Amino acid sequence: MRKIPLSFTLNGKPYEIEADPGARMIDVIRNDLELTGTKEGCGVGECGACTVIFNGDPVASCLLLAGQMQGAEILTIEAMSEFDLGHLLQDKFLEEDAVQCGFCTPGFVLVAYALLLKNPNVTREEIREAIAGNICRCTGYIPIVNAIEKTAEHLREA
Amino acid sequence: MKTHTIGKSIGRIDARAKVTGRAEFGADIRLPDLLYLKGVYSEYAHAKLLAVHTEEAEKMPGVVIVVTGKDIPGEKMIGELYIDQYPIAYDKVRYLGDVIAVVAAETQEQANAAAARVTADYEPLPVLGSPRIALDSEYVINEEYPDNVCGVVHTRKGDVAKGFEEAEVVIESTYKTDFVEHAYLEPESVTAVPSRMRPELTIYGSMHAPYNARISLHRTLNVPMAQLTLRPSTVGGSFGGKIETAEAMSIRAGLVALKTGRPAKYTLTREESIRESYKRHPIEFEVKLGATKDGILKVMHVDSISDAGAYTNMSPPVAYKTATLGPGPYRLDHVDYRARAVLTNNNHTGSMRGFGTPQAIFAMENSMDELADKLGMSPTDFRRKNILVNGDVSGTGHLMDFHEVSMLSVMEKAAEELDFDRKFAQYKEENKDPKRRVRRGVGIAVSMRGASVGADGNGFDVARILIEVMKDASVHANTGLVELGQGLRTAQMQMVAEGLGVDLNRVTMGDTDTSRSPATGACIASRGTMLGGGAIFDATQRIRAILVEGLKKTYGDDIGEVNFEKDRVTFDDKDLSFEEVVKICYGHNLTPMAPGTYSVPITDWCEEKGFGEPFYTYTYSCHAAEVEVDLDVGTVEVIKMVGAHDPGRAINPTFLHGQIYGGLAMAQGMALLENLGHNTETGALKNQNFADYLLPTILDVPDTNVPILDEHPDPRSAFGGRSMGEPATEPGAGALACAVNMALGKPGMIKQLPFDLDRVFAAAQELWGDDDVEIS
Amino acid sequence: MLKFRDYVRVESKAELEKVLASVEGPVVLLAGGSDVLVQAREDDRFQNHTAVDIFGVKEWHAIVETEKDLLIGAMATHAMIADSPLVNRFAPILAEACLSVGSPQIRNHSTIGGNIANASPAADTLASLVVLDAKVVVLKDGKEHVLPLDEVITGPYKTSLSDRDVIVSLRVPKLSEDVQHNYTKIGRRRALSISRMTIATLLQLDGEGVVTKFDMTIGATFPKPVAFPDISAMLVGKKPSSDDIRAVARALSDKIPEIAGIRASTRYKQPVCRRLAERILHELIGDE
Repeated sequence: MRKIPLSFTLNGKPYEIEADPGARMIDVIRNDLELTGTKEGCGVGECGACTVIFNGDPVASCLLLAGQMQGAEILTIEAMSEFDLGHLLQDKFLEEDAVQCGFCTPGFVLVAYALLLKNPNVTREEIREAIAGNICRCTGYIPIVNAIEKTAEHLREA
Repeated sequence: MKTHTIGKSIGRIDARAKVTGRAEFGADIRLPDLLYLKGVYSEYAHAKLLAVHTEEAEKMPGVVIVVTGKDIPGEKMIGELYIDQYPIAYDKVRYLGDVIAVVAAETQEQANAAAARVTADYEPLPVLGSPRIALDSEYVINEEYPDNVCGVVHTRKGDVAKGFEEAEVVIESTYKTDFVEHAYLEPESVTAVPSRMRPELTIYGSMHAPYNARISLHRTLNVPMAQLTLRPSTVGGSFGGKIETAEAMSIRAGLVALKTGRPAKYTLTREESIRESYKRHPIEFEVKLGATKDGILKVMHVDSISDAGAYTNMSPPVAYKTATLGPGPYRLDHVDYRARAVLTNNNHTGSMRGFGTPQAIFAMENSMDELADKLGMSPTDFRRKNILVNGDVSGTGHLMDFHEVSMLSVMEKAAEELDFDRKFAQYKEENKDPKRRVRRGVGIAVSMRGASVGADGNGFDVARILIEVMKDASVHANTGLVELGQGLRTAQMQMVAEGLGVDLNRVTMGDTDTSRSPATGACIASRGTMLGGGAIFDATQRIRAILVEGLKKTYGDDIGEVNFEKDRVTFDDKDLSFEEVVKICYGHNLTPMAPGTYSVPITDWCEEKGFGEPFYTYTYSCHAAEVEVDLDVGTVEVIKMVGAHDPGRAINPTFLHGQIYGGLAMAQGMALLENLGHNTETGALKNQNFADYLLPTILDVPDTNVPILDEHPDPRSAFGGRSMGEPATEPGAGALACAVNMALGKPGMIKQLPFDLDRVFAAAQELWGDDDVEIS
Repeated sequence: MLKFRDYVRVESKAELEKVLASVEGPVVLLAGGSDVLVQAREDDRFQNHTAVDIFGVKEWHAIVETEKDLLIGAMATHAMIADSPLVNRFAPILAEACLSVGSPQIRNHSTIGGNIANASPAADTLASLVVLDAKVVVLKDGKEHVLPLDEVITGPYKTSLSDRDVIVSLRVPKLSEDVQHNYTKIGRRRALSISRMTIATLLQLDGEGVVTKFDMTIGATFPKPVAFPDISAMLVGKKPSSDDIRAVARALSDKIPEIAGIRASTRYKQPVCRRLAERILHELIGDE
């Protein structure tokens, strides 16, 4: 079976790898790149735990093939601590008690990051619409919305 | 009790690792030389397993070993209380989630490909796809239970025949619930690592009850417990679900690891997790209630049957909680509540947040609404008249004189927050108009939850911890009460600091390591805080005594009382730092380390009579819900839910709010959305992943949900805290169901969960369907 | 990890034609890929297929207008269509339908072309495309053919396309701005929801309240998308009364057993369709 050559940028770093044609983006990220912050909750795009930022937009990494990563700019949770906005979001998630078991958390943080980067003036309703593809079984969502809202407030005040 | 570190909402100690993606969950484990595992499932829900053919699979590329039930060297079956579960099916398969072989290969893909090549010979047997079928069948699933009934608990108080004679208003209804999936977002994953030195295993991964697993590993793999270590990874949610399945997986992985000398990693896909893992019990309740004309509840008769599935698992204890907590926080003279658990060829059923009570509360609270309605009373007025207060005797015969029975206070807080009384009256009036096609309803449900396992575990209900004070005066505490996301580890840290009188930042809560702390009952049954607190109190008292011994050696035997507070140690005219005292202790070659043990006092419960004190103490809860129902479409929108609870003392109030928010959402799923699509003829579950098994999304959960804490510290708990894990969700489905039925205009209209689109529409059609009704 | 024989990515129509001609064996076209990957997970159906990724063909992403039509590239994602100023102006019902697909993550990487090619009977966009009288432009053997939707989708998960035919764009007649629309989706929950039933409606009234345009259909209900000119005729030219509306609603909902047969779902869909259709029409016609 032919391996396909891929080059892409992930978390600001350029990569050149070879992947199985059937490998999914989540397989490349977790196995080839050994970045395990991105989680597999269902494998069918229904839970959002595998969310990454792909050319600026949140996508389900379990629903993209490795080949679709070619030439793309990708961000995973591991990059968040290095950006001011990412770090701020993480602080607010802690302050607002938006983390319980933590499995869904990377997905939510990335969606929030992409949202606030595009539009720091989000309303609470817009926040809720943006995270509608992320399931949480522990927190009941409200603390997560509070964390993102507080982050937006902080940005506006700054 | 003056407190310093408990009662404060400090941040979770593990949250930073989770929010940065650094926390290691089971599937994140990476090791050199790893083998990857894949299980092969039974093709039949009930059959004799005649032979398993692994030769084809063994020849596949990358395959290192294929194991079957024959390869288990020790006992073939496991079980915490009842030993009837196959980790690998041996001679019979009892449900479609039974595993008949496990393949280990160099890559996951190779293991998957080889697993598809395993075949088996079966002699199919009839599928007993429901309790009623099993009760009527001549076939026996487990020879130990010749009538397929694996548990009966029968609570009795007074004389129900007399009660029904006296009752002036009676209602009678049958309520049903279905299988519910835990749906923790992290699918199960365990990794077994063999030692190079001796037959010894360390197991990592997502597990809820490591000491239970240790016993099962010992019995099946013939390895001494001293050579079995379990170290749970960060667990991505459990809700009771990562116990027996994780145990079975640990045994399979452990077997491969021992046979090959290589670490073995075993991760389930979501479909496999749903297929194999145990579920919440479906229960059918036949309820009969009677009251006087002026609304005094007199008599209650409930006969319930639960689907125990293929293995006994926790079905008898679930029956215990159903029969002892099902009667609810009500004052009445005559109770007869029977709970029977019946084995079937369905997924086995076991621990899931609530353990029988969400189902029982759904049935009871809707029945109470039916009775209130027949009496012409509102749901709240009826409950005001009949809820337990201090000094009452409960429905099971427990004299409630040992703590503040705050049930009414909790209910009033919930009702007030929702504006229940006013809305009930308003909506009841408005909904009389058949032209009102979109209408609102409110519902309320109350519960009292016994802490821990109750008298059912009399003598066995114990928790342990080990605390060591290091030479630099940092404190290490380790316990098998696992952090599942509920915040237990942080709350434990707060209690350890409180118990030693030291600053929070002096305490390190280690990750659970069974080689570093003695066996404890698991953090199930909402016992983690209370029992863990008891064990922490015991350990910290012992350590204080050792430190005092050191002080006496230096300062003399006649020193006054020693106080440990706010990181200082004071006695007589001395004021020392904690470091100094520790140094003194080590200086005398004393060892400031101690285990802590707490066992729940035995309560006076008579199993034979089904009467007495079923639990040591209780937590009072009330959920109130407002919904909007569209009669013409069958949709239910949840407008607002309130969760009010008296958890004793809140060790960390913010964490309890978090539990309540989560519990309300979980109840919403159970009430309105979640359905596994179980087929009674085949035992199969149609809805195998989250596209079809629907969890509430953020757009479904009201943004206005409110958690309320109504604290009354419990004198029966070392630090005053009781339970929240299960109380946070248990009355929610009942409250929502009551609200929907109220909106429909008829309490008890729909009697089966979930109240999904088709059920609500069909009910609306029956009550309000009229071809000629003009649409407004 | 899923099973594909090979993966090839193309960035232009010319490249695609070369690849389709040279690749041996069956081909599965990858637009966003979400439907294909979910199906690949269920079994090994694509293990002998070469996945040909056409998402990168830039000309098929564009949304442009001509005098009469919107030309929506088949690779336009549901998110792009939902956000597009042109679509929101000239075919807002399609924007709404696209916004109701799955979740933000799914919308960001799933396409209208893929939605049509997958031909799920529950696909969210199809009812809107029917009332818009959208045409599908298919590249077949090097030539572009303009086909009505119901000649492309022939049944549940069935199209008239071979594995090497490519949907390249949609031609959607522009609506004048006084055409009202309603897109109603019944799902079991409010996000990540498969349609139980959708109803798409276009209605235009003149200055006197007489209906000049009326199209209505039901989605997620029939084996393939269906238009109902006979239903349109019931209101066009009329100033509708409540009785007219009731008659339309009944006629529309009667189509369900007529076309889809009497199934378990009919008991739900037929009465719900009738009541919702009445509601929708009352809302659009806006009587007292």
